[in-house]
Amino acid sequence: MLVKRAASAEPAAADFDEPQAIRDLDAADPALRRHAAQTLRGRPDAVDALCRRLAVETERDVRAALLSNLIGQKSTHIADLLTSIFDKGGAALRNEVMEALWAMPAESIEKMQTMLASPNAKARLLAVNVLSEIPHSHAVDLLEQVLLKESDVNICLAAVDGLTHSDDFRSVGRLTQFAARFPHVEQAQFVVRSLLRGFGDTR
Amino acid sequence: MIPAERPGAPVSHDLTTDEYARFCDFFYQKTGISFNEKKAYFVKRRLQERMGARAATSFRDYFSMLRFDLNGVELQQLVNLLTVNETYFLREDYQFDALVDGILPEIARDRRPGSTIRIWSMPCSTGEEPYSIAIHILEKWRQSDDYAIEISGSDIDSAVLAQARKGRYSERSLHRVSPQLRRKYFRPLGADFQICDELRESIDFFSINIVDRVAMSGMRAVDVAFCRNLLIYFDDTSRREAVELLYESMAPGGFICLGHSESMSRMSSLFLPRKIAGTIVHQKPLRP
Ligand SMILES: C[S@@+](CC[C@H](N)C(=O)[O-])C[C@H]1O[C@@H](n2cnc3c(N)ncnc32)[C@H](O)[C@@H]1O
Repeated sequence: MLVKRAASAEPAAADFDEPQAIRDLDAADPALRRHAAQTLRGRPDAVDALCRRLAVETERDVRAALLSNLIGQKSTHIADLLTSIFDKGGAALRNEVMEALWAMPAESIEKMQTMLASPNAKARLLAVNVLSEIPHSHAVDLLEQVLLKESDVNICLAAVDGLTHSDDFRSVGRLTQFAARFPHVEQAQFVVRSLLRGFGDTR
Repeated sequence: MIPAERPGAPVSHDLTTDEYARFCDFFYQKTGISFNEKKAYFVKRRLQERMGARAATSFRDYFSMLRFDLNGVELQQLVNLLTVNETYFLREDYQFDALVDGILPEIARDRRPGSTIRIWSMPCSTGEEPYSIAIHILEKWRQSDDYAIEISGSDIDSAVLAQARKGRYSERSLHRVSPQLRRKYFRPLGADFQICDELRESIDFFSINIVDRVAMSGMRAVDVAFCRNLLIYFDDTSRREAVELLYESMAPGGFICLGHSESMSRMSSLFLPRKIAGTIVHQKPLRP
């Protein structure tokens, strides 16, 4: 049986208290934390608190609200904050940070360049993964540099993966240079051999 | 204050690239809809039309009217002109099959007869989608009499909602509706078709902007939402925001049906993809 919805009163915006909303990010009730993350949209003064919360938040739906707030505000400062927390949690947080950085390519790219020089291999891998999804020729240049300079072969392989999915990648030469740097790593030889065979003469 | 409306011809003021970009930014902030360079001609023509109607002499004047128009009347006019409202009866009806063959029976399993099942067509444009849902349920769900089925339709565009409430449709809109269903649920009205009163009076149409958090908080405990052919006009950021707010509107275990070219990837990982009657729908988990 079809019934008509009873019209409800128009919801009104509650008075907004930013310091209280920031405190609510750490409330015991997840619904309150999620609500706080949503009401703090477009508030640049709250981004430090939002990122701090993201690093320790255990509820998926609260993390999602925090992330969409941060992505909505995108800035180089947020990209910095996100990269500072990416390894503070588990794989889920790492993936979410990566997704957020993809969503703000212009704000992230410079930070990724700095991270490629980090002594922390996890940070370099994150940078490669982020750059792999940024459709920009500068990102391709940076990934090509990874093939020439990076000492960790697995990070190089991640860069190869990113490059071969990019429309801008034209340099077969970089692949052979990479293979030559790791003559005894069978996986590197295999990947490059099969890619070169796949490309044929088209590149 | 905005001057009274004049039935004006488009003024010939051409917008600079910078003015166009400023307008697009503003419109995006308000609605989530993003226009690219390819849409410039379409958008500029409509802007000029509104500038003519408001007797604005320059884009600057018009733009400040628009921004300081507190009751949002002028913005609504622009929204009505700039949204793509294309829709028709039984569009992508494999999802309505999934609704009656899988989704509703699953919801009904845990619900006492007589209780409410809430379905939301968001956006509904001129109403063909919620009316199709109603017809499909009445025709094909055997338990339809056992539950109070509440169907609502919403859109940001007030003009399409007025048409939806009226329920008068052209042949073009009904091209997928069989003669038998036409006879049962419509009556001819000149060259058009009028939806029967029983349906017209049982669906609630109300205006809402999907990226307006406060307005969206008025809709809660939705069991099934059809959010089809809207998110394609949004960029990644507004999609995420829209889905985030929709999530809040859904009942635990509720289902969202997206358009065939839309997916949740890169929008949200909160929903569980479910294959029901051959189509993918997105379920809010029973517990977060
Ligand atoms: C192409 S129609 C889709 C109608 C129907 N769901 C279908 O699939 O046939 C898209 C509708 O989205 C509405 N719309 C655009 N932006 C919106 C927003 N921010 N909030 C709510 N509705 C919006 C437009 O007014 C338009 O009527």
